[in-house]
Amino acid sequence: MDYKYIEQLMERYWNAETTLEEENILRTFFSQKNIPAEMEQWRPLFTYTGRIAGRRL
Amino acid sequence: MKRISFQADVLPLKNELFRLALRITLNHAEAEDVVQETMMKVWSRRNDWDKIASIEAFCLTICRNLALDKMRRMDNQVQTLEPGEDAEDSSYAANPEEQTVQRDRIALVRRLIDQLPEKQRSVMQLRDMEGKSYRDIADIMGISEEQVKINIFRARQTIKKEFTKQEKYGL
Repeated sequence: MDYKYIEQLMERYWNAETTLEEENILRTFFSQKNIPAEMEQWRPLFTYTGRIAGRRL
Repeated sequence: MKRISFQADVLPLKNELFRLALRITLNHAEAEDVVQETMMKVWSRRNDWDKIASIEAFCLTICRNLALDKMRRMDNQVQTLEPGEDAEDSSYAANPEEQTVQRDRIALVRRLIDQLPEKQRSVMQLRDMEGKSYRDIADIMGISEEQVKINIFRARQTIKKEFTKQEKYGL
């Protein structure tokens, strides 16, 4: 799979240039289970993972 | 306008409120208290519900204010959200060593988010995790849209810069 598009979006994201729709794409991307290692570290920016997400009140 | 029901419109917001409260207080128990207090406060204002444009924004505003109060009382001890168990899943990492590096990177980003000033943390939470518009965030936080954008920009820039710095010079 080609991650160029996601990389471009991330570049724009850092500069606060992304629209809500584009950030939705990033959120969807980062909620996938398998993403490339070089992207993995940015997961906490977009998702609540592990026990926080699964937490019930 | 549709009549607001506590059961159908307010209760389902619990998890979203919890995430915001947690982002601000950085403490699970305190965040749970904040959600409970928010629910009580929202309920006590039920006579005003008809006049509210967005019950969700209304609840988030109350939640943020209660969380801020709590933080002030908590004496602002520096804490970090615990890394979740998800960190195990470093799909593409080939060996245990690489997996450890990957886990450290994720932990670092989490720490960097937690270390941002509260306003930046809250805008990031509402924008990047909850997917809210600048306008909605401005309403919830009682600041201008311009201020929201500035805070988002600063938060993202800081995380990127600090991450690169720490990667370069070691953790």
